[in-house]
Amino acid sequence: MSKKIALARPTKIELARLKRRHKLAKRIQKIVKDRLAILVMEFLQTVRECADVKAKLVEQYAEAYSSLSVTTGFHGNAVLKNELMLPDTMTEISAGTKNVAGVRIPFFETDVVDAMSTQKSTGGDSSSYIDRTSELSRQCLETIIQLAELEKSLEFLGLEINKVKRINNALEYIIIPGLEATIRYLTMKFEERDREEFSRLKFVKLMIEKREAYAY
Amino acid sequence: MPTDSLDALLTEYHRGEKGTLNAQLPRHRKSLQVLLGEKHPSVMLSDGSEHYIKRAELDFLAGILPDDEKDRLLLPMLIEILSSRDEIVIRAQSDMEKAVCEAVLDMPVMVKNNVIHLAKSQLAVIRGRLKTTTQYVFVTSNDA
Repeated sequence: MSKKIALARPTKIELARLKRRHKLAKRIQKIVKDRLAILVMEFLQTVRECADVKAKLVEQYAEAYSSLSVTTGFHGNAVLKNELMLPDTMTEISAGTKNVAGVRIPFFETDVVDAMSTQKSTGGDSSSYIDRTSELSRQCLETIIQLAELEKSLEFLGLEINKVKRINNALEYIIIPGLEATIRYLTMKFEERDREEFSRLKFVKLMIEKREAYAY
Repeated sequence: MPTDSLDALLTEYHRGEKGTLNAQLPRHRKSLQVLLGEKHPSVMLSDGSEHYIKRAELDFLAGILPDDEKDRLLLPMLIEILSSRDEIVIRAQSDMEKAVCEAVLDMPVMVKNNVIHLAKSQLAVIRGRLKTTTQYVFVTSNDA
């Protein structure tokens, strides 16, 4: 049962104030519910995307490792290490934030910069095996960054959903029922007071009529 | 519970919630043409933070629209959530928004009084494809 709010004075002004407050609380609840629905939709979408990216990453890793083992077998460890010291492409990561329904979420974007012309002089030991391994590793790195963004988004969205849910529950189960109970209590009290007043007036009227009848 | 403090709390919360809800609104929207020319495409939001936009999304939009009309599409596109009427709409200031929605949804959409009405399932598709080039606007009954 909802608990009514303790009132200092049960007056009609207080009742009007409570009704205004009830309307405001309802409006807030509507906003909070809309926001919660959007946040949950975004969260579920991010979960789905996260699962897809994880599966993609596992596949890319498998491919990259098999390519790496072939390359190592073909060139040997020493040559491979030497070749990979100066990569022909560099990955730039830009970090920032994006805002989803009031939640600030980290944003990462990768950009591949060609470093071949400035850094690397193509040695005789380079081969298509090394290029392929390097390309697959770069793809893995991009997917890891994408996954990091998604995982962090999930965390922030989850925290915000929890917060909004608590607010919604407080409004739905405590504040609004409390206000409704108090409004009901005050309304009934005033109705009772009106009825008492009415019967008192009736009684007074009857008394006056009786007195007037006896006077004649 | 003291009633005056609850009153103040609710009013304050209402103001705060409305502020938080629309904190993601951009101060100024930029055209696709301008954003494509930026190294790190971003817009300033009403809370003072930067909202970065994915280049892949910009390239996707650039692929949909003809070259001479890229300056007519303002980004981020605003998706209005009308809580009083349980509706989701996109205000279409030009035909560009319609073209984008049709390309993303892969179906024709109807524009009525410069407004594109969306179903919730369509909203998920649009948000899935255009995560950073769209923004939510929560419109309460007072604003509508």
